[in-house]
Amino acid sequence: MAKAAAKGKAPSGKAKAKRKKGKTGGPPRWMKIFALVLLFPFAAVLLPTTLLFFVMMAPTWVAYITDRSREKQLAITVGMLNFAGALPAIIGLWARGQNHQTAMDMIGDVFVWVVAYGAAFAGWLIFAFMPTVVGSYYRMTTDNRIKGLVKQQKALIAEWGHAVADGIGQAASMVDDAEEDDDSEAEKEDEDVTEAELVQPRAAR
Amino acid sequence: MRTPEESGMIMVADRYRIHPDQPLPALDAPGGVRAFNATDERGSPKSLFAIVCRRDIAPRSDVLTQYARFTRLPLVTPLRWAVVYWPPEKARRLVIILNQPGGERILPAPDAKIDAWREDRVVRLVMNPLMPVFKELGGRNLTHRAIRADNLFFSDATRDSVVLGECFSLPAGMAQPSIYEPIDSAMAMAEGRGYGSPADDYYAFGVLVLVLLCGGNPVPDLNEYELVEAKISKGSYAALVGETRLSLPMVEVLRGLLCDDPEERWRHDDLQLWLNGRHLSPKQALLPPKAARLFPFEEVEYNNASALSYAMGRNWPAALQVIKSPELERWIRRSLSDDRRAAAVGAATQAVIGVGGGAPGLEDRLLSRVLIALDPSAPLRYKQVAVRLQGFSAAFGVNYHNEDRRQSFAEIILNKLPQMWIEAQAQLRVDIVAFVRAFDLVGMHVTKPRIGYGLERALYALNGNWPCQSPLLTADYVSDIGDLLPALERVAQQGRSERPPMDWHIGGFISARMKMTPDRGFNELAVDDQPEIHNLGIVRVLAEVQESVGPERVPHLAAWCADLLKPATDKFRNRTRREQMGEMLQKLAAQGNLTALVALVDNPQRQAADEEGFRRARAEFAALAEQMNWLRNGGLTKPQVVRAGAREAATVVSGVAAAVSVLLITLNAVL
Repeated sequence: MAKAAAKGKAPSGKAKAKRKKGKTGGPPRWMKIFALVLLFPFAAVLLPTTLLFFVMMAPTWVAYITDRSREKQLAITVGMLNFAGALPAIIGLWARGQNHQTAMDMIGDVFVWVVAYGAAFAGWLIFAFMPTVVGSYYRMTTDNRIKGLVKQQKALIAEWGHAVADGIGQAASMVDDAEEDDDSEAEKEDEDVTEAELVQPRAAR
Repeated sequence: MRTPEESGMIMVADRYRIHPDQPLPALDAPGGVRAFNATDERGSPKSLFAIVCRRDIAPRSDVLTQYARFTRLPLVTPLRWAVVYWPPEKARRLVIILNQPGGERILPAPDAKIDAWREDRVVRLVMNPLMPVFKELGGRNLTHRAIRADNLFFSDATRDSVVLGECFSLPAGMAQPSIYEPIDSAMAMAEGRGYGSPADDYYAFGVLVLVLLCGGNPVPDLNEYELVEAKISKGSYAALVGETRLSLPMVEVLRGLLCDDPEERWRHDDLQLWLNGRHLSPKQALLPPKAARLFPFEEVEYNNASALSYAMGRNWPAALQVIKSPELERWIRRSLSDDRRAAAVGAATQAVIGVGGGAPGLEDRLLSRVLIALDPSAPLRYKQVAVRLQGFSAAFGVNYHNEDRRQSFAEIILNKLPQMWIEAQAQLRVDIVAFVRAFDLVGMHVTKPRIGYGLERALYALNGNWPCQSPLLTADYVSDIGDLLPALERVAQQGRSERPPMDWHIGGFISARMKMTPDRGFNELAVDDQPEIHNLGIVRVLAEVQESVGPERVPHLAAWCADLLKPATDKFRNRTRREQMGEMLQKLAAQGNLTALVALVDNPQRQAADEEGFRRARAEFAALAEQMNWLRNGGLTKPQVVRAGAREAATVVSGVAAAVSVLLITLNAVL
């Protein structure tokens, strides 16, 4: 019963938090529309550039659409490198006078595609492998911090006696066998990190 | 430089040297008090001797100072006294240096026979010369209580003068045979006779004269019991003089001196008048009223209440049976026609009959009351104890090591029998009334069964100069509170610290001798299941003694106490603080100040700081444990945490790489 109740409560709590975040996180919708309206004349005036930009930044749009997280960190990661890859083509367009013919030539140039999409692919790779790196780093940090905490507890016991740990049984036992537990903890954390490596939108889980 | 003790010389006051290898058996006092030759190292030609007092029986050290002034009287007077190391016993003992009488004892032993002295010789050699002694003693309200023929010495080889022996080595009257004691004192046990009154000395003087005239005990055929019974039934004069042929003047003086009524007994002025040739007719004390019908008790028939009371007091189990019937009351009422006494006896016997013999303690108490009612002037009797009120304290002290008797004394105190005895007296003397408060106080202490109270405190409260009987101080003689810490310091110095420097005797001794009882320390001592409090109590009590009477430095005892305080310092939770306190205790112990030790350990601020520190440490430990739990529960390694961290990290890495790329591309285009 209690479990069911807890389950029942949890979504409502999340939903509430979501609503709250929706109200407060990110720029308001009207601001986005206003920015698009403001950018539209520039896009019309710089149409060849806009055309080239949209085509070369296609991986970013895909990332933006597939990343359903609020922060859109996948889109940002891919987008920044994608932009860096598209930038030489845009500079080349501007250097040749920025006309439709040149823009189409650029779009037809495989090298331009390779550079822009390769940079975007690098962004994807960074985003995909970063959990492994961060997981390892966190695991290492956790081990070091636990050792430090055990050391501090031992120092307290040495100074104040075992009475200082009375009533904190779980911690006291941990002090005694902290080192022994480290290995098993590491294994457990490996599982955690492996799981963490999966980059999936929270809402999809 | 070696001290006299170390060099084997036993010196008193740096002047008198005692020679333990030169015993003087002829001058030994009764009760195992031995005499040894002593010399004046400053060259005084007088012969001296020293008596070595016992540790378990206090000498009369309270009168030594006064007797030391009687240098011109025919008395063996004390010159100096001190506690010294006594090699034969390998212990410290009280020794008294006295002038040695020039001749031998007039009567070699209490039961010895000598040639009977002529009356004129007795008058010339004994009565006349001893008159100044009585005058001086009477003037200072002192009693000798050892006037007897075997304590009288010829003062020189010419045998033309005598000198009275010492009276300090044992409690007053303890060495006196019953013959020398008035009836009430003779009824008491020897150690329970008390310092008495000058009248007791005159009585003994009368007996002494009679013994000299008879050449020994005038009634050698009577045992102690028969002698006292005869004194009660016939009167002292009749019982002792009997058929002895005496001159009329001698009859006169002996009637005066052996008068059983102390108020009518001859004293100095009467004797002086008699010696000057005046003829007086002494009043004779009335004999106890005789009963019309005899009362049988243990196959003997008694015709007076006093004799019956004495007999019942000596045969306690049989007397208990007597008071279980109303016969005794009936006998007093009908045969003695004494309704008041019968009522008093009746009240007690009825109470016994009422309890049906089921309460032995109550029966004993009631029998004691019956005996008081039968003969109020007789000593207080209870089981095997028979004491005059003045002698109660000394008798208690002497019998302290006898378990049965000690118990009897405790019951006497708890049952308030001394107070009952005082109430029963027809005439209340001021000195007797003063005992009421003393016994009330002692009774209060006895009911508290803890160190600092109990029977031990009663022992030392009742006996102002009794040496401490602690097993720890067997090799010492501590009768003054100021000697206690030096004695314990010596014990500590010898390394005999396997037991704490506190026991029931030391506690009782301190509480009885200190002006202000260190109750806080004794309260802590009562907590014997917590060594940190108990031991702190020990040190606190000793510290208060040091504060009160010194000495200022007792480093060995302080080191001993510092060890005792270890449980108290161990109670501090902080290890560093404990170590610091241990070091400080050792430093303070080296200074020999016990108060500083107590102040170090019993410091509320330090204790509060320790507790506060511990509380904080616990909180810190709990926080660490919580933090650890969080980490171990995947605080950092949970998938969502890692994922969030990875996303941010990916963004940052990508941003940095893009920024660098854009910068390079831009620079390439520009340049």
